[in-house]
Amino acid sequence: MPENVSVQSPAVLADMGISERSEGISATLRKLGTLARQNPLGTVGLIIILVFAGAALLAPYLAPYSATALSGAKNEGMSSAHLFGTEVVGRDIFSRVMFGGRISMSVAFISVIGGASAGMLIGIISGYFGGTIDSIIQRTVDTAIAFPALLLLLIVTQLLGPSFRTIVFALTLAVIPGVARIVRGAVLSEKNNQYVEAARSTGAWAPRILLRHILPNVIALGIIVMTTLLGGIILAEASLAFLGLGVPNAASWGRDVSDARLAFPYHIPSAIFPGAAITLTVLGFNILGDSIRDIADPRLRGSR
Amino acid sequence: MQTFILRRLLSGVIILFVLSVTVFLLLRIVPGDPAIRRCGLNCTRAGIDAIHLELGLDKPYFPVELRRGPPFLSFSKDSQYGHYIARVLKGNLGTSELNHKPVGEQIISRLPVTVEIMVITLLFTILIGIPFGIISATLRNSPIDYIVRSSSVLGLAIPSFWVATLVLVLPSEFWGYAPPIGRKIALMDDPIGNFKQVAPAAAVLALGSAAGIMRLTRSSLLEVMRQDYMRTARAKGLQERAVILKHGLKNSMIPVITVLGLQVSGLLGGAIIVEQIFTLPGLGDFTLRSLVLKDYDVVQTMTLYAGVTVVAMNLLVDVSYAWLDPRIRYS
Amino acid sequence: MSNYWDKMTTQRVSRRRVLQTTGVAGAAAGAVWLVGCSSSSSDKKTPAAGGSTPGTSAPTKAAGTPKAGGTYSESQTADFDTFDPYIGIAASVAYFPRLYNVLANFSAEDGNFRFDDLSTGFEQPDAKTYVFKIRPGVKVSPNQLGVPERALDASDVIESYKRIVSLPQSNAFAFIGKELDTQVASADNATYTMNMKRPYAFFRNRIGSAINTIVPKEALTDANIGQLKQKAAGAGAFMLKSYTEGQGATLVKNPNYYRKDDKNNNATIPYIDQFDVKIITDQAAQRVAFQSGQIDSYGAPNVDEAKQLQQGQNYTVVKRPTNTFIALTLNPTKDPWKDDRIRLAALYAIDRKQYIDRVYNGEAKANGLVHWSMGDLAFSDAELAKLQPYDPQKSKQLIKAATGNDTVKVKVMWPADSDIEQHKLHLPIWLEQMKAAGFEVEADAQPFPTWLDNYTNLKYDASLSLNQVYEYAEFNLDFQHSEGPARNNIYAIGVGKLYPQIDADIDKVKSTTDHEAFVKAVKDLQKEIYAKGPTFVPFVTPYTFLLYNQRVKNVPQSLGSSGLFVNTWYLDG
Repeated sequence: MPENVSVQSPAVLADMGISERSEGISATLRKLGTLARQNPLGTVGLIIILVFAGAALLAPYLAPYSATALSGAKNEGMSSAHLFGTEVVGRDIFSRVMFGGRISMSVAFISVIGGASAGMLIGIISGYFGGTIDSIIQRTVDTAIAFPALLLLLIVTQLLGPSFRTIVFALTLAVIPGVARIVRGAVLSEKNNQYVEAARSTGAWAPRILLRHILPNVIALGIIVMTTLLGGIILAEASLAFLGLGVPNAASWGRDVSDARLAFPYHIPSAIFPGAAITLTVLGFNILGDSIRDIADPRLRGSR
Repeated sequence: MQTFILRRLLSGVIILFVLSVTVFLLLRIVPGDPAIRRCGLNCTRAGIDAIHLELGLDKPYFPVELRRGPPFLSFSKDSQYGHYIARVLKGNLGTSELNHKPVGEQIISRLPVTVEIMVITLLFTILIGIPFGIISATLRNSPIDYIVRSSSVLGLAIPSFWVATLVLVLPSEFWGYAPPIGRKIALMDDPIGNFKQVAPAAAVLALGSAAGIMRLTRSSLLEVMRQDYMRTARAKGLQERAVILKHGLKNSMIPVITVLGLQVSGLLGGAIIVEQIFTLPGLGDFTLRSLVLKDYDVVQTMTLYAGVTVVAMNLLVDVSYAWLDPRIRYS
Repeated sequence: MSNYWDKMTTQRVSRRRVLQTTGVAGAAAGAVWLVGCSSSSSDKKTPAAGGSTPGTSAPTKAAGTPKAGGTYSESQTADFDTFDPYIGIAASVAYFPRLYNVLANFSAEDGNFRFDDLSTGFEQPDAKTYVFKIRPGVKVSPNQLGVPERALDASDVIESYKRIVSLPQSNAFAFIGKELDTQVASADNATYTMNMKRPYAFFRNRIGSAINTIVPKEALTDANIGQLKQKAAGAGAFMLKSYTEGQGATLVKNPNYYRKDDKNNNATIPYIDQFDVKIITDQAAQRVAFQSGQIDSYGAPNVDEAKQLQQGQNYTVVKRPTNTFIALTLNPTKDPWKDDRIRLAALYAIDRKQYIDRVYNGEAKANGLVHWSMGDLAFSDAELAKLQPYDPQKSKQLIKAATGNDTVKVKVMWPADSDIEQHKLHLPIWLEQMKAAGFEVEADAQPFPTWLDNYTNLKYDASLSLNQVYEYAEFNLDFQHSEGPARNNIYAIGVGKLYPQIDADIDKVKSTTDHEAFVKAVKDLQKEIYAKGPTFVPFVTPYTFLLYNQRVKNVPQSLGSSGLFVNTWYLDG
């Protein structure tokens, strides 16, 4: 694919991530406040995520019941004992929604961080060294990006068996190619920057150039890309769980949707809450990701 | 250009080969013997062996295999992969281990369903995504822009399996309406019935893809509108609409086409879930069933199919760039 | 000659009537194995797997004079695989009785029901020999295989069974292949004699099974046998008109069908012209298809669902036991299950009432080693309360006594991606109960094919297995045998591995053909196994609620899969 068509503008390598330090806590807070006011949507996204992440983290302490306890009769309506009612065998839906975020989010964070790191590494190698290595990597990446993600996930989980490790592995595989592509584009444009060329002409050692000039910018870009990927990964995990290939034995939103499907017509809480939890979390990550990108690249502000 | 296409095709073939070997090996090293699934509860060891023989699963996997001891390599003319490749090159995709029918035949009868879903999904995607993306970009920061943007963020966030179930179940519960379920209605026999059957699935799939295209069209158009030549065009006194339509649109379509291309190959993934929920006997349903039951030849064929689609779409997208943007030349 | 069946009949009728009966799935116990386990092809409780199929021995409350004509449609969760009855295991099995014939069929559910099909009856000169008189005029339907439209005779039975004997992978092999000694046809092919290797108590359950239906011998030639995978030729009530992979099949009535409706002036049957089978893998989609009138029957997985659907509607509801159950299978060669006390602890950990209430709204009953729908072979609730009490305290004591610790770690596998309602809902409840009884369960959820492979190859410590159809008690007993249900060291290692006496006693029971002695032997055997700690523990068997569109008349009563042979139902409106 020609370089100048990269969907991601190389200019995204803004100065974010390398902020001024030692300004004192109050100054930092003030800055954050301004940032929030300038990005109301992003703030909403952040709040949604904080609520769900907090619920997930504190679920063992805050949830009214354990995720597996048969705490009520089956398909109870909403009441003070069961805020969101109970599901098909009588487990508390509110508690399950709280616990459900644990798997979703941990899987998403681990695989995105892992996948993005690997993707960055591959992208850097590909972009910096160019030549045959580059074209081999690029052809593979082309294929991997276009290969139906759900099919890849299904193949991996079906063949290796559903477990936390398998799912993280499968989702990591799904993250790598996209990140590699974007990072490669960024590296290419950095490489052609005058200061890098200058450094090279003075005979600087390749790893040194990479470390000093290219890596900081690429990491910033990687972080931005990661935030935009999280939502999609949560959705993918939920789809797997829906098909029964999620982490076994763990409370999971996707699995809860699948378990309650037959009761949808006559039990509204189970039709709404697990599905809505997925939607809201993904929504939160998506708008936060958008905002972070806007902040990082003011030129693109409000463009998505 | 021709050498470019040739080189691309060659690398495509290599990728497909690697893909097929990987899937072939994975299918066999992980427990899940098709002979066992063919045998009932009354199954016997002799029965399992008989099925192995029938399916040729008693043979070595590959023509060349590593061995523990010297000479470290063993060769076999009569290997499972050798037979598989020979068959595929002759156009025979094998036979489903579970329903005893030729895979090729089944794909041919199922392909129209999935193609229809994809075409209608793409239509929805293009008809909704691109116009609203343009509107949103031209009326930037207006209430309409906000509405379009928020609905696109929402569209990307809703899990298709959830919406699909609701779309299937609720109308039936409240209004007694259901799309025709079970048998495929052929387009030629009854176009309206056919549309009723396919449209809900396509609509659910289009929810996500239209949202993506909408966002992309908007941002890409905004990006283009900032370019110098657009300013020049405006400075020449051209009407804003003319500027957008004549200059902006064509240039902003490049990333949109890339992503549409990606979506076409990705739709097989989406089709897996919606075909299952809406009971559409297409390739997605076929893929899921074969994977869930580890039907060797079918899994092999469906991954190959996905691979071929991917390679073809990538090539098509690259070629279409040259057409859209004459500055791009392949050497 | 007085054999167990005749006695059973007289004794069981009244009780069976009260119990209503099964209808579920699968003409043969093992037959729908695959269907029952796989995720995409879902579950048994639905008519899908065959249960919805109407049919009645005596049109008890016929709502008027039967009308001829119309198209009936039903759904299947699994696809058809082949129309070769000896290798079919999926949805097809439920249609073999429609397309082909058996010598005779006896309902395990309704002791009163006997369906003489290709034979007009049989005699038993001794306990091991059966002499069938072949019915004249059982004429093959028009077909695409080029089989002439002639009457079937003993030579067709011989050829069909010969094929089974030569096919170890056949489902029917366990019966015909293993139990049949010799078979002989008379010179005029009007009588057919089977000599069994031993007196065999389950002969009548097996002989009428859909998986050993008779195929015309012309269809079994080398040239034709492959074609059976997509086509069919038989003398059953229906003939196959078309089949589309992944979508369904259309059956039409066989104009040559020999049987008439003797309750209605010997009218020609079947009454319906066409029988549409749609493959609808998703349960929610099935429900929607039924609500919108696209299919004529629907099997609600629980009473809640049936009640919801019935609101404002006037469906005919038929309540039947399903004959399916979730069971726990333990491997007595693996620690800690080697220890009788640990096996008993797992047995006492099960609170069956919770499944009955939570999963089935009370519409299910607790199972002993033989499931309750097997009538007098099963223990009453009161007896079960003594033999397998729910007592987590006792479980804990047993664990303490056996291991010295308060809890014991166990690894249990199950199919992860099953979408069988029953399995999905039992699992969370069972895990809670095990926890409460002092077990630390290490979850080993596997994709279905992996699970089945491990299950078959005995690579497990314990498995929570799926609901299958158990139409008669034979498998319940054989699961406790050291060589497993099919007697060839696959699927399960029974407690007989530790106590060879149990193996011997199972064999003794299976060759006890006197009814009273048989019932006593089955019960004694169960008590013996309870004392040692069973390795195969059924949970509960639910009722299923089959809903029929109002236009379907003469809806079935209690026949189990035998109903698949009866074709006197009709459509009105």
